[in-house]
Amino acid sequence: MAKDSKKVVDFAAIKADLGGDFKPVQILDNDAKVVNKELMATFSDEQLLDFMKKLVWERALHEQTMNFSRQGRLGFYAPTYGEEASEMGTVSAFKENDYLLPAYRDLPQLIQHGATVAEGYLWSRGHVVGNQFKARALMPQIIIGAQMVETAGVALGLKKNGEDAVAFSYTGDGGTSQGDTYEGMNFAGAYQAPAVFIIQNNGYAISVPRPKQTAAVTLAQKAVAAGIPSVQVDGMDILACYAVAKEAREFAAAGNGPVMIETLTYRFGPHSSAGDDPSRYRTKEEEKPWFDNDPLIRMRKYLTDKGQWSQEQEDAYVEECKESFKEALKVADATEPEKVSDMLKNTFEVPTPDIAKQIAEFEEKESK
Amino acid sequence: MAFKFTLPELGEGMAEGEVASWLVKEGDTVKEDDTIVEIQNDKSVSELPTPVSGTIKKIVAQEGDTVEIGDTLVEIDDGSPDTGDDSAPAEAAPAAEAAPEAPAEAPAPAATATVAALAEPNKLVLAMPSVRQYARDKGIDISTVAPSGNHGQVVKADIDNYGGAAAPAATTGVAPAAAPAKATAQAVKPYKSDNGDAETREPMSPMRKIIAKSMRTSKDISPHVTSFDDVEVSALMANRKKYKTVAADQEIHLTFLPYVVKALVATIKKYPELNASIDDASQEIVYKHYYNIGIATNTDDGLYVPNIKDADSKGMFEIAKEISENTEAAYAGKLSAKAMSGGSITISNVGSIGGGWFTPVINQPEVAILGVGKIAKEPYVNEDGEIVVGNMLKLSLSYDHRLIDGALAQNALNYMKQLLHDPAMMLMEG
Repeated sequence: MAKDSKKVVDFAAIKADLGGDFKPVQILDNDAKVVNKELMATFSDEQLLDFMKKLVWERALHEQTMNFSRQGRLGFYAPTYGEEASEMGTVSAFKENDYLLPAYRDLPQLIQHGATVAEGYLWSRGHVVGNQFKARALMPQIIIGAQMVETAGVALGLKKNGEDAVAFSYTGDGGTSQGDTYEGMNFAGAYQAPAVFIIQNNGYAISVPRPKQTAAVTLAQKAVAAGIPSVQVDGMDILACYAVAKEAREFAAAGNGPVMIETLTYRFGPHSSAGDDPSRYRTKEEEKPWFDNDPLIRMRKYLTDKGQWSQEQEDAYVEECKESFKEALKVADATEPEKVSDMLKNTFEVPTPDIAKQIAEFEEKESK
Repeated sequence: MAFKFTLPELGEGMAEGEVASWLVKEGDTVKEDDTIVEIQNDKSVSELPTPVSGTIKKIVAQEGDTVEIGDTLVEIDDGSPDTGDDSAPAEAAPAAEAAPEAPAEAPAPAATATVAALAEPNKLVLAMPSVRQYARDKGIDISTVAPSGNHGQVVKADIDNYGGAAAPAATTGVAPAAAPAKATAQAVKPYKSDNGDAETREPMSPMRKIIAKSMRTSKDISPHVTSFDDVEVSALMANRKKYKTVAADQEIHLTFLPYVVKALVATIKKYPELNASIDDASQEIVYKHYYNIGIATNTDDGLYVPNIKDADSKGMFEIAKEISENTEAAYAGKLSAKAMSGGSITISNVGSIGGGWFTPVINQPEVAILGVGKIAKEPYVNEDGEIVVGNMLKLSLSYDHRLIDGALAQNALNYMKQLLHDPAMMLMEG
């Protein structure tokens, strides 16, 4: 007779609980209603206006840059349409001295952090000058998740040098499916290095939806295993993104070790300018609520209701921004193009025999 | 005085695109960043904004034209000097675009250091590292050795047996290489002619290329057999005549096709082999327990095969309505991939344009296709042994002989004939 025995471990219950303790931070909801009055009170009117302008700036940058790309005037570009709050909110919380390690979708943050738009465009063209910005940052990483490992190293360096600065890095939901993200977090955690890892969960790794990438309910919970505190934030709420990133920065800078932030956002367009068609992997029904959740809508409504913003103001600012991007493209165009030999010379400080030979070959060709 | 807007690179590996539609015409004034043209490629449709403001001087690439990267799409008079080949905006440095391509021109690293230079350095050779080393030690170019191991692997014995002559085509040792390999192995033969002046050439549209490929593939995969038959359908015609006006009141166009769909559903229910696919990878027959009847639809752009989903659970009028809707969607180019996949069996109807018997090609991965011809007035011996004028509907059933035997196909045809001859029976069986 088998006795009814209590389960040694109730795995089913544990599984059902995983990730359940994350609740996204929100300050201003989609109807422009303040859901956290205490935090809202920490923002001045000037700050709110500045956030609005940053959102509009990034949207305009996206639109104009995509046009340049489709006109054949630019190289690869990763659209940022829909992710403005997540990007502008977080980057605004860091200081000039902080070290940014962006991925390829993070040109707007790199520019906000001190690079010029022209440098961003030159980077898009693969020109070396695009990497010579004065911002304290590495050039945008193309390898998915690789910047997370670099962030751990940079953060440890900042700590060793006793600097009052943190390293902060961006990757997407797809990046968290890479081993690098865990390795970076684990290393930073082990050394209690001042790093802030920002995961922009935009729902898709190119065409693979977030739920198909991992069984994890949230991406924030992936930090738990590395002993890192983490948080989910409404990635369409620029105020919440800023507030959370600011808190994270202060926590890391105070010597408490790394932090991870998952922003819940959505990529409104394709993955890149390289030709994927979102209508082949997602439905209009799925997109609709996200479009209704556009980060610009709530800020625009909130500030318009307060009489601090208007459609005319926005239109004029969009034009101003776009003009500046056209100027930036001219600057990029005026930069002397790189030759193959220049590219080769940039590979090693002291060229290897192979490279030296190729440099000679190309200089010979180029002199003709 | 014109700026030439050329086709930019719109996606990784996209060498060309088709002009889907022009949103401007010659003489129109455009502002920088206005969308002027839609380009269709294998991946998506892209709207291209103009890089300059001005007047559309000349549309060079017409709708339907296939253009390559760098080909001029349109000339826009923007007041810039006409230099003849100013393909980039006046202020843009063309060299910046050339730079990424340049590395391709870089010479391959010198191969002289290796013992045996490979005749085909890019050829995929399957061999264990020890065998590769063994070949190098013996000074033999492994890419020229005929493989005899499993999956076309070069084994040590092959190196020992190497005679020095170039290996015979590697496919000899590679039995598992299936149909696709066979297709690629055939050299592409250019069309040559002594009468070139009296001929014109046009690039194939992407749609035509797809059709060409799928027809070719279908014939490669399935050994086709076609059975021809005809059936007297006076009763069916009377039935249709009777309900045509009822249908018209509901704005439904009742043709003979819905009857054929119904009869075909009943037939494939009785003969499930016709509603199946072959999984070549697992050597299994996949029987489908749904009845999605494809209707080959001819449009100006090419052939589409949307299917009527779950036709077994739909009434005649509903089927008729769906056929019309699918046809409209096909013409508008708005059929979803879903509407065209997951089919049971396809109907190809040439009767409406006067066709008779023909040999339709199976719509893979299905295993049969029914060709429907015209209804012709012909002498017919009726049930009473009298010669009368009959209304004879021509049927051609092509089937995949791997799965469907001739007798089965004929039995299925016979059954379908019963249903079409006596539509009342469809009520019983359908």
